[in-house]
Amino acid sequence: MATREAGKKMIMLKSPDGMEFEVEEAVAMESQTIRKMIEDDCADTAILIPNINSKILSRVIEYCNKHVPTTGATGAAASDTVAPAALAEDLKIWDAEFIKVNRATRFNLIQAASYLNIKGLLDLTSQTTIDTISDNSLEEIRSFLSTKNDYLPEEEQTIRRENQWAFQ
Amino acid sequence: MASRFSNVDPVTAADMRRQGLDPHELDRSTEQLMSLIHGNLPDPPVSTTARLTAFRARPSDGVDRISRLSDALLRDIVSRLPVKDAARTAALAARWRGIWRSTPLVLVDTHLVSSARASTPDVIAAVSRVLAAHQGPFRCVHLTCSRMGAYQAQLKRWLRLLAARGVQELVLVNRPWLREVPLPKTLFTISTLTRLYIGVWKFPDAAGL
Repeated sequence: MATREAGKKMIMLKSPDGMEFEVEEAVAMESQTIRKMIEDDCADTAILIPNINSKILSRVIEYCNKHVPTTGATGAAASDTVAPAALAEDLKIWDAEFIKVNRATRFNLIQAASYLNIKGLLDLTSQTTIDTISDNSLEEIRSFLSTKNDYLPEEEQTIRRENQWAFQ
Repeated sequence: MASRFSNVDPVTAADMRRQGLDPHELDRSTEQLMSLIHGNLPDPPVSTTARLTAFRARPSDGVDRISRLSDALLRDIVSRLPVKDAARTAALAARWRGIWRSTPLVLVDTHLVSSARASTPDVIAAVSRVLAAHQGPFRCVHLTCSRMGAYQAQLKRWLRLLAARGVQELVLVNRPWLREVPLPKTLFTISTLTRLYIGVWKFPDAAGL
């Protein structure tokens, strides 16, 4: 973790497998769920994050660290000189690298982003999933997602007829 | 002759010629007007072009992880798809059918047709099917590429469905010709609207409301 800077409030996040992560409050508050806990005074010294293991939680913190707005923070001189558009472009490239993970990690990140209510991360992880679905045949999508087809053949025909316009 | 015009109909063209006017000029200016209108509409929240492709090439490990996600998360994922891709997910497996029918609908009629030269009857038929089959909510509906003059009954049905399912964002633009297709009064009964763009309609008589 980065060295603690003076005047910055730190928050301890704990994963169910016993790992502890000390993060700046501003970074933790990228999560609307954690923000609410802090604002409602439900967070004393440490917050237990249920259902998110340390490996996923550390990735989530990495994402929040990168995406926390730097304005007003000490030592964030870079944001004063770099144009917002360039900053956004930089974040996009960073996001594209960040999301190069295996499927298991990606779906865990979707669940974590949803529970912690981090819109940007949910957008990123979901968008990557829909790119798998777009423009592919049903068989390809099933194979990509490893989804079992539990329709009877005649049922599937009915569903296809219902949505025939989508298969043309 | 009719196919030489993008907008002006044969009757109007013949009428203009009789008066010694050039229908091509009207057709061109109408085309300019339409592209100006279409160019200034808000972007729909779903795009058919912006895609990351990081995962395309990765082979699956055979574990159905996506089905472990909650219905709410699956609906969120499906609602980000262009409507054709979204509807196709209904055929993946039984659970996905219910997901599709209750996903917040983002219907953009230009996404329904694969070619830029949309044929109005095909689009009308597809829009009617989507609106009728989907139980809502309708988050965002863009209907901008059809000549509605010959489909006023459908237009009335659509607006009734949009009102019943509580559409939030509605962009409704007619394509000439006709230029003065009456907009059904049902529009005023949609209490859920948060954003409304309408174009190239005859505004309904609101006196009786």
